[in-house]
Amino acid sequence: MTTTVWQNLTDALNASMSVDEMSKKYLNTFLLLYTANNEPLVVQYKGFSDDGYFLFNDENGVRLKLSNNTDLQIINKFPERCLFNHDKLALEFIRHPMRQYKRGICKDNVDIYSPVRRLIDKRSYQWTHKVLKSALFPQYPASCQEAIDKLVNKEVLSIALNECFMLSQNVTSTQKNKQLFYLWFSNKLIGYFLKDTFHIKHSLFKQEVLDNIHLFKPFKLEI
Amino acid sequence: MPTPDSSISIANLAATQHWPSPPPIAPATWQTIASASPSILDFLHDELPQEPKKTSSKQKPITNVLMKQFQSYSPLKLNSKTTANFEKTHKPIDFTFCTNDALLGIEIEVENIHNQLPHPVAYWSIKNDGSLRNAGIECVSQPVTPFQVTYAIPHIYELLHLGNQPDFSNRTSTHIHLNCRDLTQNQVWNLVILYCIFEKHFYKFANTHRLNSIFCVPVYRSNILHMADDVIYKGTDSWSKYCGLNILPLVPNNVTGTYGTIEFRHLHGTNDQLLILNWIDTILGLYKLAQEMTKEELVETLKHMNTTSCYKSLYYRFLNKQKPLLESNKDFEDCISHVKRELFGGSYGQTLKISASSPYWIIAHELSITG
Repeated sequence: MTTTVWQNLTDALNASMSVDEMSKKYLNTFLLLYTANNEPLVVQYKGFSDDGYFLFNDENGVRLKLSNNTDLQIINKFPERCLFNHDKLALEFIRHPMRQYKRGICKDNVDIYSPVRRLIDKRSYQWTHKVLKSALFPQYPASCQEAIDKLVNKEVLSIALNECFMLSQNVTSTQKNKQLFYLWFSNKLIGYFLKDTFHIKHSLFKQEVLDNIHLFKPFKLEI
Repeated sequence: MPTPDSSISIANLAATQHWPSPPPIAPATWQTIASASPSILDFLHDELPQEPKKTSSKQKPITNVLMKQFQSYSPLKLNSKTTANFEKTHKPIDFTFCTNDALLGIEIEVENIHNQLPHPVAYWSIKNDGSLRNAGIECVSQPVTPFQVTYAIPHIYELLHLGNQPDFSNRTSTHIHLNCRDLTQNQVWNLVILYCIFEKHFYKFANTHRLNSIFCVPVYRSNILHMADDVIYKGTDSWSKYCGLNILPLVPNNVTGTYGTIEFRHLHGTNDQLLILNWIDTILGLYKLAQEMTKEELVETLKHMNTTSCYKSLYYRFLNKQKPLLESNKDFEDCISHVKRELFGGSYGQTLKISASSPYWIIAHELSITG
């Protein structure tokens, strides 16, 4: 007996049960829908229509209707913990292991936040569909030079170099040097960039820097 | 140099409940300093943050007593007579654990049990479980030694197959509680940290699709590890049951019983008895290693692990005769970096004076983003 994509998502015993279960486990949460061209779309489940379709919204609010026996693949996948770039700053995606019943990605089970702001308060970033898309398909600058240029030109507040490292504008008041940027390993400050050199000041993360030395080229490293 | 009035230390900021959005800016101040004479900038440059002072790894925790001295637990019901009689009259499954000096609790979830199970002769009680469907039940063991596990597991599986065709669906799990009442607080800390170092091994063993579940979230994908100290040394309930490793039963809390155990929630429901025994042996390997190392030794190992590649030797110490599942260096390094970051990552940031009038917040205002 073949099971539908909805049964697979909900562990429902039959097709009719999966309608209720989709509502309980996924309403207003985010899933990945693979189109016929195998392109992933981040979609939000919006319920079951009177005419018998599973309803989704894409990132632009376009309504998608999928039948019970659709051939399209829909999966529930949490990305790895990662830094990513969105709207002129770097954010971090983490899981939030709290008791709740929604299986899909939602504000109850993930936390997206700015590591810089987290230094001073616990407020989370008010993330949207588009922010989540940036987390699921992160894009990083092609080179460290590009990241530094964006910081120098004040185009960004912070910028993730990859899933683990980011640079931010100066977060302190005692060093008002225009060319000073801070280096972060995930949500922790580990050093700074000044002129043309990265200064790694947290001894425990020197190895992590060395393991990713390609990220910091063409600049010098002082470890 | 005096600290500017607008500077706020992290300690002070932590006490601040609300932060203005965006924070107050002082463009005039920023422009003044940015265009200041070289001598002032040089002076400021001299104030660049330095590497934090190394803290002694021998720093003593608040206490290091046995968990059973730290917390009040109900007495364990071992039913020695009944189990001894059972062990005289039944054959165990052939399996040798890396240690027999432990107590475990086993929870086996299973569905499709339409006919009532015969009452177990020893070790087990049967409960209904609301999270299951299709005539699901949960078999819960009393505290058992590893030796007794070799009797208890075949016993319950024999009963499950009497008149039923048990279904270990995606909804079912096998949870193992490891008794920690007789461990010191440092040994429990070691156990939690060693688990976190090898967390990917546990998920690989239990099938990686559990990585996506909402009821056993990996610690390395969350921000919860730094709370372990509070649970272990202060007795707070600042942990989540829905992590793969659940340490809440160590302390009084509103979610689970205060059993004095750590729960391993990863393993799916299974009809494979040998798989459960190997899973338990893996947990016991961790338990054994946590007692063999001092906390100071573990901290030092952790701090230098990436540079000396000693993680593999530690891995083989933990595995004993279990099959290694982690292959790439990245499997280890991700988790080691996670543990270091959560435990020691804040030390450099604490040396800095994070300021509301820093360039970061000024530029945030200019860009009209919250930052």
